[in-house]
Amino acid sequence: MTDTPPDPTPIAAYVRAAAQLLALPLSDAQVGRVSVQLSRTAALAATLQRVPLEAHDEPAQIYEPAPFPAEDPS
Amino acid sequence: MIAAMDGVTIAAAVRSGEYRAEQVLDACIARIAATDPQVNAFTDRTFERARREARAIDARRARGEPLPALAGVPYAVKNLFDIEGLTTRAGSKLLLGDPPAAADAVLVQRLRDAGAVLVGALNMDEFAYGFTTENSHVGACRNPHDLTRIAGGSSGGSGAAVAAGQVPLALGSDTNGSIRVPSSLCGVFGLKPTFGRLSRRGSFPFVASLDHLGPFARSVADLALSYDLMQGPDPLDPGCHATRVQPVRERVDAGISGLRIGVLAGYFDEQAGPEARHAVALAAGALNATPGVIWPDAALARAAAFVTSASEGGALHLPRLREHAADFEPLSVDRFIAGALQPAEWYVRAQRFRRIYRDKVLALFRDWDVLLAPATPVSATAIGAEQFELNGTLVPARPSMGLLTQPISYAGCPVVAAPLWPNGAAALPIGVQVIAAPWREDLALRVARRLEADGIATAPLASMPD
Repeated sequence: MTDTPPDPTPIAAYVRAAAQLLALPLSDAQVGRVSVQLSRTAALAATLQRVPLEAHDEPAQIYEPAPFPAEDPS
Repeated sequence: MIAAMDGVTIAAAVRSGEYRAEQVLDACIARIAATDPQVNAFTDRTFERARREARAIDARRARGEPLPALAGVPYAVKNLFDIEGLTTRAGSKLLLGDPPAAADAVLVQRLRDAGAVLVGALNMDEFAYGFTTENSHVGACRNPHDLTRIAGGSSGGSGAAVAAGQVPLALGSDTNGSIRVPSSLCGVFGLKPTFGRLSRRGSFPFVASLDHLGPFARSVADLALSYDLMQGPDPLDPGCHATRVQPVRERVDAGISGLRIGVLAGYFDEQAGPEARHAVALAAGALNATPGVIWPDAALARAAAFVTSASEGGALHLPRLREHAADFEPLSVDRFIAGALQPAEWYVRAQRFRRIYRDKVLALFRDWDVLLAPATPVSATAIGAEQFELNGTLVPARPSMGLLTQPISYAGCPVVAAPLWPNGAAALPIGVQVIAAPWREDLALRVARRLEADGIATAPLASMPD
C-alpha cells in the first residue's frame, strides 16, 4: 500500500477529503487543479462572510425578483 | 439580400407574397453553407423539418389563410433547447447517448406556432459553464466580425449565427451573462428577460435559481416581437413567475420622454476597459442620461452569483463527474468539481444575501426607470487567450467576461444588450446593458429602440462570403 503524500495546503486536504466523502475519485493532479478553482471561489465567498445576516433572513428558495404586477403599466 | 433582412421584414415579405417561405429557407441554408465552415455556429441542422415548416406556411398562404406573426422566419436555438427527435447536447458529448427529445421545448413550440422555421441547434460552452464558447468537443465558435476571436458565451453560437446573417433570430440562455456577453462581442441585440418571465421547460438546466432564456436578433423590433410571442404562464415550470402576457411590441416606439435614465458608476466603471466605458458614454450622451448612479452591492452580488453557480452546477453534474470526469470539457471540469465540493454554508449564505440584495435593487429603481452599464469589460478576445488586460491588471479571460453581467442577473432584472461600435464600424463591437426593474422589459426595449433609431446601436451583418 502506498501512502498518499500529505497535501501541501489546507484547501488541497479539504478537496481530497470532501471528494472522498462524495465518492468522487480525483487524481493528485486533479486535486491540485480543483484546489486552485476552489481557492478562487473561497476568496469570493469570504467577501460574503462580511454581510450581516440575522436568523430571520431566509434564503430565496425559488427566487422571485419582485412580485408579478397585478396591473399592466399604463 | 435576404440574409440582411430582419425577421419582421421577412415575415411581412412572406405575408405579402414577395417571398415564399421556402425561398427564404433556401437563402438561409445557402448562407449557413457558405459561412458556417468558418464560424462553426451550428452543431445540428434541422433542414428537413424546416422544409416541412416552410412548405406549410406557403400552403397556408396559397389557401388564403392569414399567416402568423413570424411566418417563414428562420431561427435556430442554443443546443440546450429540446428539439423533438434530436438528442439535446447541452454542449457536451456526455449526453449524446441519451434518447432524442420527445417534444420541443416550450419556447420552440411557441415560435413554431408563430410560424417561425427552425433550421438547427447552436454551439455553446459545455453545460453553459463559460463565457467564450471554446467548445473542445465540436470546436470553438468564431466571431463573424473577426474569425480569430471568440464569439462570447455560453450562447456563442446564437450570437454568431445572428451576426453572420445565418438566421435573423436565435434563442439562448443566460445564467450569468450568457446572452449579454455574446451579444456584446458579436454586435447583435440580445434580451435577457426578467427572471421567471419565460418558461424554461424543455431546456437543459445549469443553475436553476439563475437560468433565464431569451432571444438574439439584429433589430429591437425582432427582439420585442419574438419575446411577446414566447410569453405566457407555465404552471409546469416552478421558476415561471409570470401569470399573464404583458406585450411590449406596441410600446417599443413610445420614445423616452419622461424616462429617468442613469449611468452606473463605481464597480461598473472599475471593471470596464476604455472601449466599454466609451460605448456607455456614447449611449449616455444620446439619451441625455445622468451619470454617477451606484448599484448596490455589485461586487458582493457577483461573488454570490459565482458561488451559487458553482454549487448548483457542480451538484447537478456530480453523478457524471464521478463516472465520466475525463469526458467533460477540459476548460470547465475543474470548476464543476470545485463547485460540487463547496461548503454548503457558502451557498446558503449567497442565497440569503440574494433576498437582501433584491430589496436594495428594487429601492434603487424607485428613483430610476432605466440604467446603463457596459455588457463586457472588453471586446472579443483571441480564441485561446488565457488572460486579458483590464485597466492595467491581467485578469483570467474566461470568467472575467461576466464581471459586469453577473450582478444584474443575480437581481433578476431584464436587460437589453445593445451593440455599439465605439471605434468605428471597421473595429469590433461592444455592448451596453440597458437595465430596467423586474417586469419592465418594455422600458429597456424602448430605450434600446431609441439607441437603434438614432444609429447609436446597430447590428450590421458581418462581412462574410455569401
